[in-house]
Amino acid sequence: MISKSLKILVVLSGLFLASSSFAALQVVATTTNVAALVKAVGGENVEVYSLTKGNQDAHYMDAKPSFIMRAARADLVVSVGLELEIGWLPAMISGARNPKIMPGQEGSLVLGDHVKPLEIPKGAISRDQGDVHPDGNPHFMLDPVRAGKLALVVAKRLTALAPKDGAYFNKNAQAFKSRMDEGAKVWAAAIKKAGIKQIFTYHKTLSYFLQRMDVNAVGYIEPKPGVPPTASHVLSLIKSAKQKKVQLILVEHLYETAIPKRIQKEVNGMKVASVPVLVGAEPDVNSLYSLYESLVKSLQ
Amino acid sequence: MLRVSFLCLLLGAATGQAQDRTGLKTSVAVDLVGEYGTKAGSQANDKFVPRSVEMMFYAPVDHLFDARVSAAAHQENGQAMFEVHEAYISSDKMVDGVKWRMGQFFLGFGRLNRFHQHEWPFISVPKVQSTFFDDEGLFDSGVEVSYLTPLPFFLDVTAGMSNGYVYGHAHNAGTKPISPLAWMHLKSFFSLGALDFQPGLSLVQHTASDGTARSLAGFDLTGKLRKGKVLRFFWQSEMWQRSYTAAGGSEEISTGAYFYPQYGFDNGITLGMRVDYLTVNSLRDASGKKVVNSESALVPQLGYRPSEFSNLRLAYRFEQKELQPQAAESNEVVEFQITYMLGAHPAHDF
Repeated sequence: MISKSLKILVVLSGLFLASSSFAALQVVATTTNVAALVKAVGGENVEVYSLTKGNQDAHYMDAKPSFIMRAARADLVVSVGLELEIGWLPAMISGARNPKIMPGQEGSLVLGDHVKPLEIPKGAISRDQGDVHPDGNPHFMLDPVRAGKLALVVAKRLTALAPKDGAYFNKNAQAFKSRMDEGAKVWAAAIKKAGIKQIFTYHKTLSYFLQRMDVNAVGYIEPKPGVPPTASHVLSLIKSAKQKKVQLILVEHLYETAIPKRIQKEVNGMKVASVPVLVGAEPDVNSLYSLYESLVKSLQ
Repeated sequence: MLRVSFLCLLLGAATGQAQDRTGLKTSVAVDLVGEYGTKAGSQANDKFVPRSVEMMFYAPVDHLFDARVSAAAHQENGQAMFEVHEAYISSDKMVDGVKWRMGQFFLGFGRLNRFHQHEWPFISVPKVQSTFFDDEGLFDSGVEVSYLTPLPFFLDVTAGMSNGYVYGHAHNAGTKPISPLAWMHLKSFFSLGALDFQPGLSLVQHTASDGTARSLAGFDLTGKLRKGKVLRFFWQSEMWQRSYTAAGGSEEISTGAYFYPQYGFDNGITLGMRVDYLTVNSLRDASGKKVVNSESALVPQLGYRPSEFSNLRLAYRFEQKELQPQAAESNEVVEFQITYMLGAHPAHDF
């Protein structure tokens, strides 16, 4: 009887070990855009989980115990960095008590460390300037070209964690990068043809995308990053829109359209469009490619 | 004079730089509170004062350890007192799933006791907190270990032990207890749609040098519903039962609780209502008959939070004390508070 039980135990242990050794890498991403990038590179050889959903702003989260649970079992945590997640990610990492994902370890990848950021504040900065990111604008995932380059960074890190799949990751990353580079050219041409050169946005979320597409954001609904609009600021935007002949306000889907619509009423021909800035914000925005396409459509 | 100089030195260091190149982060939290009684004979302070000015320093010590020091100046009986709140070393890098700290810290049980007073969601101290743990909560020198269990659901087990020479707020060294202060906290987590809840169970035990024994059991619940940058709904509550035996006396059983639901509007404005209740269950009259007694409060509160670094609050506290056969006594107090933080960005625990 004991012998039979031992045999069953050995078989079960063997199955468990076999399943463990062939398990996909467990990757936790802080945003859906980062998760989409990791998925594009890792394919079926990684299991990616995004901590925030497509309708959640990574600026404003808590280190939820459910996040801690995910991080405790992760092989890799991929974050945006540039202080986007500073309010909760350190607490989550500490709470997870997982040595693999501690800062500086192979299991911690901060994408912001691998890009050249825009809008790095010059001179003295203080909170008087709103939610300023001292190391630059963290919304670089909305630039298809930067996302392409980051795919190679992700492939390198996944390869370090699962060397046997390195060729697969690199092939996927190269294909993703080529697709993004090609797409960026086509999208920029389409927007140029549409003739839109100047717009307003709500927050500085679209800076990277707009720079890539050669469109200028000449005003923001927020008077300062993270600060709600005041009546005087709205009046100054109305005046500015009339002077500069701005005809479009893109409102990132995380923000309300009420104030942009108030401006629309005061400016002839002004259009207001709510646009997704995160994968998963809308049912058909399920990859970075479809996210960029959706943004391009809003400018046509 | 020495105290003031030290305070200025710390303030200078703290505000000079939020983070240096060794990872040292510094911040200063200021908690200004005013309270005014609206009835004759009220015991309200009737003044507006800085309740505390707390300086916090935290950084990695090396590749294994982190450390934190916080010191606060606060008002006590009309005098500004200065004291070290926290001075501990910790690590989450040595053993998988384990985090520990050694030194002086706020003991990790319940909800309010785990947070500094300036981080609390309301102005005044709930009666159950002030009666069972003192206004600021229990902090002491000892060791605390927490373990994230490898279960399919979130279960964090924290246990600790500290000197226990004093219990609650004291400015003396105390005396060696019969049994040190020991505590345990179990935390779990569940979601109902977008609404997240963290329930917790606590146990606290202590027997002082004179034989005064305390044994407490509590349940805490925190709930959050966040929509974008707005904390649309927030819930915080604690329920405690205490067995208290004074030296040479008989056992007294008390039960207390507070409940605080809060609704958040889009523009940083919040509206909340705290309900407090405390009773001595074991109170008997000379004939052995149970005496009806309670202390309760209703505290509606209006808040404005322009950013995560500042808070303005206005509340009205209606308190009632009942001890039959005497007539119930009531007290009404208007409270207001301004808190702000300079320096490093605080991480958001759930």
